[in-house]
Amino acid sequence: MNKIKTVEIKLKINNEDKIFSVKINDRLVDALRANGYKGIKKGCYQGSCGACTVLINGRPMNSCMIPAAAADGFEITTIEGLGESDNLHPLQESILETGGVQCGYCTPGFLISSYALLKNNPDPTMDDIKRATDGNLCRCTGYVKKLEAVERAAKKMRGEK
Amino acid sequence: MLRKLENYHRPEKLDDALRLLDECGAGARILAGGTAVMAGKNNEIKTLIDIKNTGLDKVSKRKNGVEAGAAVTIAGLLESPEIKKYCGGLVYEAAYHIASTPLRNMITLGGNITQVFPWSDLPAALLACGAELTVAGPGGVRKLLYADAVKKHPTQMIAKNEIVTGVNFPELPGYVGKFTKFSKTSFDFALLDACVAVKIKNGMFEDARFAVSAAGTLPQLLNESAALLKGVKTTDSKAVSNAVQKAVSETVFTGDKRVSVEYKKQILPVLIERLIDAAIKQNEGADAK
Repeated sequence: MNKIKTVEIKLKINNEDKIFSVKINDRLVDALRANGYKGIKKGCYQGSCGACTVLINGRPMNSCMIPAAAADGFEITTIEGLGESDNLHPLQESILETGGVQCGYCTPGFLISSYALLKNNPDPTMDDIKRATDGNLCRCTGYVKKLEAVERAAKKMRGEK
Repeated sequence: MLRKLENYHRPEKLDDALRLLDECGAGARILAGGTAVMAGKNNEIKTLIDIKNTGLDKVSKRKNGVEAGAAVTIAGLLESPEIKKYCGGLVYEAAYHIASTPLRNMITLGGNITQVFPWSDLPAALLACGAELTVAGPGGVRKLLYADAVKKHPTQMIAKNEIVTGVNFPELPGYVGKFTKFSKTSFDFALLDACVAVKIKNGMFEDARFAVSAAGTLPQLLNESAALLKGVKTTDSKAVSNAVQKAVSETVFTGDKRVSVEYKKQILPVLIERLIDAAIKQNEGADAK
């Protein structure tokens, strides 16, 4: 079997410049995880479940559907870029407060999609929240608590109680 | 998963992309959003030619309609005021119902209409509005009516060394277009997509077009049934019903494990009739303004 070629890609991840050496046939999700961004989850590998969602140039996308080689020059935000364990983002705080996490596998992707929504729309309706997170499947919670968490985070970020 | 991939190129000019495609031969594949390449059969691909930097990502108003580049994402279509206004929102509605938010940020117009995936909701809208593809190749640029492109699978109507660079949505003054996707959830593949575009004047259908996708293996323009509406009064429910029933007999259906032919035959007339009603109402609203 032929040796798989490696290529160098330059990325800005969570505002830090990075250079990765990746196999030419890697998916972006695998390249990111191999380089320490384990918050991103591998799920369906078909763009269906949303576990691998990251922000690319400000927009949520499925990192399993992007060849790593094609990501050269991308600005990426992962769940690690939202908050620290001792300084949570309002979305992370809110999803804990509402009980919107059970197994937690979908949580990083769900929060990234929600983060993208709130950046552009600080006062979303419930329909806006559902539409923004329609690509993030959750098999545990039944969605209600997760969606409430986004509403709650939006209020916090607007300075409301 | 891209087992044989050896080269990745991201040209800045369309001419360079065409040259690479021609030179690299059968193992070369165009990459734009990525979903078609990553979700499809990809183990024979040796070279990826990424066209995202070749300037095909714009939507613009032209004299003869609206021109959209093949690398415009579905999100890009939804954000375009020209697409939102076009034919009463026909193309906007079809784009709105494609896949999920992350995928809409990736899937491109060109990929969605040429690959005709189960999640392709745009083809019926392109048929109903008479859209035309711009196809570039080593010999120059040609125009291909989308209705002709889907006579076989579009990938068979476009040569291996050609690239679909854009879509022209022709000016359709006075037309109202409506689209509906029938599916189990918002994110699910369509069990049936239907489109109606009508031109109504003085309470009469001057022109009508029906199109469906997901009914059979390829999207279909239903010319015979739509022609039955021409010259018919919008209040003539019997004539409308005739045209709707003809749409069912004119459509070529295939079933699968998710939905049977019998079920589709029950659903299609309901969808078309609802779309006609909605178009009449929207037209009345436009007349009242």
